[in-house]
Amino acid sequence: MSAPLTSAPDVRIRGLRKAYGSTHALDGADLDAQAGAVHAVIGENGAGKSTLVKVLAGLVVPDEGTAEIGGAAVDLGSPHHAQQAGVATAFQELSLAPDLTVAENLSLPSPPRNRFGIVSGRASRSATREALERWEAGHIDPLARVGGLSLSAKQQVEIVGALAQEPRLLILDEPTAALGRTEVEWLFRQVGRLRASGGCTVLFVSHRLSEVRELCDSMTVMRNGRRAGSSDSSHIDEERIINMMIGESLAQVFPERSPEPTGSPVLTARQIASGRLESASLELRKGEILGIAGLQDHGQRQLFRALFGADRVDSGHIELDGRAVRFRSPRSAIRAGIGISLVPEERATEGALPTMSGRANLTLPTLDRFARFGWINRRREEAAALEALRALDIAERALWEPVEALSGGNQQKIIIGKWLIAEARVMLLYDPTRGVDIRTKSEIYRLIAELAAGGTSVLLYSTDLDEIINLCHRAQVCYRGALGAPIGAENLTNQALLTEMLGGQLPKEVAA
Amino acid sequence: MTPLVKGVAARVRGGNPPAILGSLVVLAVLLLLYGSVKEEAFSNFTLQEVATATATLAILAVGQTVVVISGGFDFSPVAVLAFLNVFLVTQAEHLGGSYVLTAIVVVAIGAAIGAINGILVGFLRIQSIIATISMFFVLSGGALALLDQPGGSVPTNFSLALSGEWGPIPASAGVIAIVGLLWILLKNLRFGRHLYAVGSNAAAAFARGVPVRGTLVATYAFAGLFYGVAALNYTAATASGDPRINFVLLVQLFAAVVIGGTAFGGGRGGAIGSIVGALCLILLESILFSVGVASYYTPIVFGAVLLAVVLPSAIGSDANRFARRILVRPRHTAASAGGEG
Repeated sequence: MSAPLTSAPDVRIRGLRKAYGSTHALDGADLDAQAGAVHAVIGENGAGKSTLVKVLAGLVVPDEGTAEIGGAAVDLGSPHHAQQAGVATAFQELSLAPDLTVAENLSLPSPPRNRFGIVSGRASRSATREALERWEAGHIDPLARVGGLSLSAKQQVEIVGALAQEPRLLILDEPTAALGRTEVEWLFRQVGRLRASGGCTVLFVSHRLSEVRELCDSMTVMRNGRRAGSSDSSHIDEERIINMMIGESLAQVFPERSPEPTGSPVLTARQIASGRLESASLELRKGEILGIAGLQDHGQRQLFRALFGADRVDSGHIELDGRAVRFRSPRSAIRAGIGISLVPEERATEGALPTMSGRANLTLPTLDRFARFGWINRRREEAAALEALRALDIAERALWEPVEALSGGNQQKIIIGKWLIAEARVMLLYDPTRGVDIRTKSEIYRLIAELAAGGTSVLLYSTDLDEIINLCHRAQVCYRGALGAPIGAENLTNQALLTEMLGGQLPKEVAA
Repeated sequence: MTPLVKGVAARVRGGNPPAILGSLVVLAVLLLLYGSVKEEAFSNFTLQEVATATATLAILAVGQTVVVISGGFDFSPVAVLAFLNVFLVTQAEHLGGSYVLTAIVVVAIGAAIGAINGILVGFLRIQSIIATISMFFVLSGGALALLDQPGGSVPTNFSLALSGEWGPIPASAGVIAIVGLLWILLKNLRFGRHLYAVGSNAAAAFARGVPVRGTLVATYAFAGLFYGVAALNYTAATASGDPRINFVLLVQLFAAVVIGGTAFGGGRGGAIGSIVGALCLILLESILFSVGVASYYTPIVFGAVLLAVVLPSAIGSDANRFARRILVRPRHTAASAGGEG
């Protein structure tokens, strides 16, 4: 897998600096990548990875620093110059206009035109269809409106758009965060083809060390806007890399699991159906962490939304402490002591109010408690919010600052933390660690374990099977709208979960 | 036509019909009503009347649509209209009497005013509402400075050229058609693609290499150009100058855009729909007048019609929730009634 690492670096970045006010997003960042290599860029949230990507793509003008591709200096500062230098970027926050079709998006900024200057829809359609087929994404309709595509299809369009520019330097910014398993395999195949054909260097920005190990030839670890180290990832030592990323040793990512609680269930679902979800039954006991696993779009989202009163329950029923309940809205679920953290598939659409302060975000579900005759007692509200911030290990300034100014990890902690104040009896956590760095992950794990130890019942869906395996007392798998039987902690393995997630058949490459 | 029909059919099947379809349905209904209540509804004279009444609203609405698609709002068009109207009445004689030159100058001033709006919005990042309200004030003052009360006149030939008849059709209808064709051209130029991309997601468009700021300047400049054309037609039809601001027209303008299916927020819609929307409003007014509804009830009907047009799409965008909350509840209650504690 490893490309020869003898020649001079093809991509050479020196001393990039970019400050936003007093925050140094990039603080003298360097990077070297060999020609034709797949080079990983990893680091915690806020380490400067996205700013680095944006600088290379021409979206952010650096205060200082240089970048060279193939020995030629790149004029940093406009997307146009970046494209001319052969840089193509597939962004994590997609650069697609939702109201335009796939073909219209991919033909930006200069769609094919006839000699009168009229844009030719046919030419851009056929060019797009050709590109999609060439990169094995022919199932995507060039005429489909991007806004109507699934998140993973959008990400594929974004990636094909970058590939189709036949770049010298391809930047993939957290490309797998939005992809399901088959699409990740698709991406790896395309990167493999690119590597085989040579002539294109790839920067692969990722959180997932397993992917980096599988795909990349070399890596740069970033911390605090600088290069903290670089390595040949075929000799990857996970602990060393994690240490480079966080600058200290992280004793243990997962907290110790408490003994499996017994006793009567707090929350029970009896064959509930809602939209795509056809039949789900579960029993959640006091202090239990029950895991839900499943590939994308198998009904788990509807399960969570139905339990929270955000979606209608078509049939079956929900019991709380053995009594049948019906939640007409999230408001009635909150009153019954149910909290939810739905990590939005696309950030900031559900869960957080980005322009409002951390305090307002934290106390929103429980505002009634701090209000008398509708007048909010700010001191009491602030005290409660501050206590939550301390428990979450977030700096006090988050009380007043708009949530959008916080890091992604802290935003996520606040989304979960509001249910701390609410003292929710049941927490529904839907992929709570998506897109957050290892340190924040470990903090969220600790938080979940503490909540459970304190008697809160937790229903946890995660795309990261390690979380299900290491955090949960039991787990159930969602497959094609049906929830399987519970698997006890002693039988929770990657293989057992994957087998059910794939409908009982374990493909060879996964089993290996 | 075939690819167009095929495309429309595909979008209807895909649950995403072109927004203009709704306004065409409204137009059809109004035309039937209009034909049945109005005497000599389709005679040359009444058609001329309707075309002239529609033209100002429709052409201004086309300009407004361009801005709305880009994700902005333009509050300046009625002030541009008043300003250029009094400019024509007071200054045109200094241009040497050539109608063509006069028309070009007026349209160019409109475009230049728009370009200033565009620079304020695109380069100085002032919110479009603020920028265009400022322009609105400046121009309404400017109009009063040029002419402090209604009056003045334009040569009859000029009036006839733009508001008389072009062969068998009313000149105003011809002007509307030209404006519509101009919009279709714009939409199919590279600019058109950039316009929709910027309105849909400016950051994404920028990352794809679209010159966002330049596109915004062009957007407002084209809008201003359309306002200039509207001013020519309006001045020809009224044959006099009036520096006062027509606030009702400003509101009707937004109504025409909405009825035409262009969503506020940007990235979708089109100006042909706005022309249809303008025609709908004029027909509605004429129908109400014909059946003898007192004029102070007319705005009430306008408001109701506007809501009626917007409601389906508002419901459609949140169809599940709406259905769940209101339409399907009885079944839901019955299904789970047994389990209620």
